[in-house]
Amino acid sequence: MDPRCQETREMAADLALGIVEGEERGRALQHLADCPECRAEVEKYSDLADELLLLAPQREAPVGFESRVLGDLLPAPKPKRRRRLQLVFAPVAAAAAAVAITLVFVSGDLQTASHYRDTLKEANGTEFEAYSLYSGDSLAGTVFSYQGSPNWIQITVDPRHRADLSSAELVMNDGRQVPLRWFQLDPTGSSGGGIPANPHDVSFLRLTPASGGEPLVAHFTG
Amino acid sequence: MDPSDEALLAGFATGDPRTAAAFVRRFQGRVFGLALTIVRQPAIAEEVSQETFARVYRHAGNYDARKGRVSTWLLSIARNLAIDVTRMKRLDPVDPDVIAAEISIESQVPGADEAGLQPDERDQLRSAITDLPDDQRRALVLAAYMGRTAREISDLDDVPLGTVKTRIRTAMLKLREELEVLQ
Repeated sequence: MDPRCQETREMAADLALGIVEGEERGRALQHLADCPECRAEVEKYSDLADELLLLAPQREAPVGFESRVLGDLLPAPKPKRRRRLQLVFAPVAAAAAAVAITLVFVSGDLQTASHYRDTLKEANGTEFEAYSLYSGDSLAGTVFSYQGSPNWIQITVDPRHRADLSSAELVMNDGRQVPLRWFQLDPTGSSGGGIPANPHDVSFLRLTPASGGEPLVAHFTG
Repeated sequence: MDPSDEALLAGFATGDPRTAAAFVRRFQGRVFGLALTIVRQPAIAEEVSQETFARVYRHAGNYDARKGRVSTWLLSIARNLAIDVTRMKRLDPVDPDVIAAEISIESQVPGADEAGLQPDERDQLRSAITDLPDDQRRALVLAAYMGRTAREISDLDDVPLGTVKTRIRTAMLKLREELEVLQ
């Protein structure tokens, strides 16, 4: 065995526990970068070191801990955006067929509820939702989701947040990331298309600027 | 279906209040428990836990799912912070036998449903630690939870450096073999 491999493997457990320091550690890390066999050896011990930390007993955090953590980290909550009743046209390119749906919302109106149900029924839908899109703390647009056959979303972005947006992806509740390849804003700041999942399984939508700046995010929760 | 740890971490990083609350709620018992195990003082353990979540919030972009689970990434941060605080504040050294006794008892506080070992498998790992010879268990606990290097343990226990290294490596090898059987 290569003497460097031998030296690294002898200290594999120590490396996984994070107790190797200085020059010895530097030499080992340099070797690990080039040696997949030694890396695999250290990883086996790292899994064990991870499990050891999970054996520590859980304790009830002090009363108010969650609030203190969030209070320190997050900006103060804003009042929810009140949705004005509006006419929404959602042209949707779907895999099977192009569907154009017009939804009319009139608050507190039974006729509207009936119309809404009929509209959903037209495309085997069960739910139509709207979520606010944010850039940091600023409201940046709206995302409409439709649960039906097909499932789809429609994204509208306010004018001052449109520039430079180049990609969109859904982050699912199970952590998967689903790129939306059809995403491209039209001159009115809208883009819509089918999604390969039930909107209920989506955690959030992220629109990313080409410059790598702050993404726009819409959470599909609650 | 509950959101995965990865989805909650991603949402926490964006500052969404509901996701952030769910993330903190899911892991606060584990983080606080580990911090308290190491620093022994609830007020200091709370400081360590708060700073752990602050670091996670600031560095969520560095998380790499290929290198480990969210829970173990979070606990590694908590462990390192707790060790730093213990050294900075010159806290009284904890008897490793006390930590060994604590980790041998199954936690009664329900927590995150982590990937990795199943609860009964974790119990078997606990048993394997209990079954280690006293000197190996002591060296392992000092290294794994207290971040003591082999040289520090050698000085602390007044035993040759080579002996300490052998104790740590033998203990880790035994537990690793146990883990491989379980998996």
